[in-house]
Amino acid sequence: MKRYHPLRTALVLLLVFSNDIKSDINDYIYPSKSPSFGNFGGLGVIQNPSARFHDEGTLAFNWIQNGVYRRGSIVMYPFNWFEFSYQYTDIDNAQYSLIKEFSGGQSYKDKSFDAKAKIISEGRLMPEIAVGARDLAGTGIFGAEYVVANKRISNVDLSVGMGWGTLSGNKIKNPLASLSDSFDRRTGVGSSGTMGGDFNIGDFFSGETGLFAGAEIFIPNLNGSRVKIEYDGTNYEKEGFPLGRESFNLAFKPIRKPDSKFNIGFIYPLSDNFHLKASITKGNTFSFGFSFHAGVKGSNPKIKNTDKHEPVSNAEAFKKISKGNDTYIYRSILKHLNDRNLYLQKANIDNNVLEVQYAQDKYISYARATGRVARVLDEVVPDEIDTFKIANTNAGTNLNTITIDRQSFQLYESSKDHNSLRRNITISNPKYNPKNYKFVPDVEFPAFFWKAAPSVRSQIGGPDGFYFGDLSLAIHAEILFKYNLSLVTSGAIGIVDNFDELKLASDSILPHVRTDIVKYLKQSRKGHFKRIQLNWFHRPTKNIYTKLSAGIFEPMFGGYGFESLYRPFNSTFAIGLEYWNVKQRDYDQMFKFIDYETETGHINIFYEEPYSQLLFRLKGGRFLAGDSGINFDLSRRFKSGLRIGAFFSKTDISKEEFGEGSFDKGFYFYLPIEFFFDSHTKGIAGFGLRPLTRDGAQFLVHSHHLYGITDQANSYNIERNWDDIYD
Amino acid sequence: MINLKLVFIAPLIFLGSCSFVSFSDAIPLFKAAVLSPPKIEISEEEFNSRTYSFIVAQFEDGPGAIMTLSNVADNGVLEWVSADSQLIYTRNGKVISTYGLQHDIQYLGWAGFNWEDPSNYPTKRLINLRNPDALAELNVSLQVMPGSDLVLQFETIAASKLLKETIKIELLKWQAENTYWLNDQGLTRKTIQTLHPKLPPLTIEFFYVFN
Repeated sequence: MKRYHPLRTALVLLLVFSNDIKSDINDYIYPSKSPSFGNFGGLGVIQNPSARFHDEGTLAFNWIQNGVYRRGSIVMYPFNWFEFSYQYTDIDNAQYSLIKEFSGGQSYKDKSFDAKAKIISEGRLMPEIAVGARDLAGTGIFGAEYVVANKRISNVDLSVGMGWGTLSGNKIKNPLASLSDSFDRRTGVGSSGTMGGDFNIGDFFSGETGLFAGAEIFIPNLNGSRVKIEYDGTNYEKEGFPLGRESFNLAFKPIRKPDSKFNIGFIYPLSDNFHLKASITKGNTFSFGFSFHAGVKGSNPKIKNTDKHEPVSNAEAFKKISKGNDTYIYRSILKHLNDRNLYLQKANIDNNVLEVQYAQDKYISYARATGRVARVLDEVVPDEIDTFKIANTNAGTNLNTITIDRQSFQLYESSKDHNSLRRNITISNPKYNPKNYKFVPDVEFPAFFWKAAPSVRSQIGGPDGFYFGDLSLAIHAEILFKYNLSLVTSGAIGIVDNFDELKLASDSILPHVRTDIVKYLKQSRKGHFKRIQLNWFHRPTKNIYTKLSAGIFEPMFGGYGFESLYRPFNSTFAIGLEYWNVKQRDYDQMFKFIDYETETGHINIFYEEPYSQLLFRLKGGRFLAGDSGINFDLSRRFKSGLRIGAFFSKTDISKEEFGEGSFDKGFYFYLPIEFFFDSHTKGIAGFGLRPLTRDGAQFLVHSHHLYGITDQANSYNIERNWDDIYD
Repeated sequence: MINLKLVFIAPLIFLGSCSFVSFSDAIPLFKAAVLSPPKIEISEEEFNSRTYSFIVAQFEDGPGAIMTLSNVADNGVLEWVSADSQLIYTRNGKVISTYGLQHDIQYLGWAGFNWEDPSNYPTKRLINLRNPDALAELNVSLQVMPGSDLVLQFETIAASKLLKETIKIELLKWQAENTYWLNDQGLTRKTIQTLHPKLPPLTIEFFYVFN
């Protein structure tokens, strides 16, 4: 007879009847389940790619030392079905150039983009399937395309795939050759007639084809560690410069041939985000590295607890004192909003409606800023006021007005039911007459603001050395002469740099609008002005915004011009026009100019898809070097304020005129710095990279772009963070 | 504790051509990265000024909080609440439930947490772990030892008993040792407990105010 175990019975009953308890002890046995990076940019087994993806809004860095290759990759996930990586590979069996005076003893550096897209998500029986390409638009020495499938079975993540190019090590007949003979041939490295940096689409999925397979085995109760085993798909006869000088005139020794088709590796997660890794590849090569990834699509969860709304002390007393006296109400809200970095610009009380216009530089989320204003008003304003009209202003212009029914705001506050509140709120963008406001705080013009900050300028991946940079003390100042007239100044005093060895001269046959960067960096190292720009803003009609600017716009150009933007409040489209007459600045970046002068201007078209927060920007017109064409920029914004984007340009210059890289392209991300802090702050840190900066397709960089300034003059941009209203 | 996220992303940002972090932002940023949070200190004056019992709860090298007694249930469970609404429930000093921590726990069936009869102390318990959610079986053993002097915030008391509780989840190969210092009235005055496999040990000092 079986013994009765009350504890086991209780456990079983709990599991059967409790919907609340989703018991999965496996989450503790295998605490780190996030997929891991391989030896190339993206997620993979060791040498082989996998079909896995991180969550959208994840940024990652992957570094690996593998034989003659040392590779650092920046990896981005603008969608949970798309992986993009950019890498520098330091290749130790080749020189950067044959001319020692040009590149010293530097080893060969290869720049490349990789991309991977998910085709099918994993189901109960269905594997996850992805298609990808390595070394897109690069030299092609790591060029490969692949289709790969992954299936997790218990604690093993199996992958199997088919590859082309450098992933054709285990040869089979190319199944696509039955569709067209063109899939039989792959022209390969250096034969596409490109200057490097071009997409050699004709080679994709062509030529030799091979199979690969692998497994990532999660080890129980070892902090999420995994063992990786793979049947290597790499075609080592094609990857890099395998035969030394026979493969490439800058290579000086061959690469060790493989002794084995099987690779084995080990991943040890220091945390779910930070992985250490080591492996044996080819049966004779030890490789090691690390990777780090961080999901930054949502708000920093820590701030929820550390920077909450601070309720007004003695709020009831303020309510009582100011009852029936509009001036007292105004003074009370002026003080309590200012105390919370919400700056009252104007106020009016009429017929139980309190209108306030405020400015703020603290919250990325416009709904959160409005919610914080509403809470202060609700706490200190007498109960007779039943409606708040809260307007946000920037550059002297009202950008949106949120009208809140006070009773509803109070009703849903404890449950933070922002959806129900939304039904009792209107969001609009009326053009106000400032004379309608009874209360206007005294502001003494000109008002002066400044801040000092460390600043870094970087020059990466040139022939003189991999990294050149300087550290300077930057001073950023703004003088407000009127609410809509300001002078923005930015200068820096050099502290330390390593520019001495930087000597690459421009070889461009176009006007040197960007390629004299070495002269600019070296001659401005002691101190320079980045910008001295006077801006005047005007809103002639409800949906049209304009800006006139003059001065020094950027490190290389100064002049005058204007920008105009048509941006309807409830539309996802906007269109703008800009014109600039500019002269090139002297290399010391002080107040003198050199001979080159030009007119540049563009028509800018914007479309923001509200569901995915994708922003399409098309810029068409004349660029700084006198070339004409388009610049297309596609980016995605996340709730946190993170923006990930990429761009390319095509103008009426030939590949030869453009030079190495064939055409202008690059990627960037902007990361809100509040992600690192305990309190809200609106600062953004940007990282952008062009594989090569040339003179073609370059446009003027000026401050206070109208599309950015008017970001909140659009109902979708307020709605996107509406759930922050009670935060 | 080093903030890994910061250590690895910050240099990436500095590499960027348009990076910008102001001094006022950078100083707290790096301070937060390398320093542990300060310890909470209670003076005798502060204790005397309080009208409700409270605990000082602090994770090893982590954030701490003063939590005030907000409810005493008939079954002897005490509810402690922090300024930011985190809740800890204790019985005889043993934490049996939490709400609002990064990883919460709930013991299912806590009635046996009675130090008076260690020989009847249950050797198996069920615990509900949160984030991620899992139900686990705990093996528990209790050892009673003589107490010694115990230094609390502003006083030194003689602890009459020292209890060492070992908790173990076989499936996870995880175990922790919890310590309880009891005064001569049998009240727990201090404890160091590991509540959850993903949390560091929590030190709690109990300050009782009897009105």
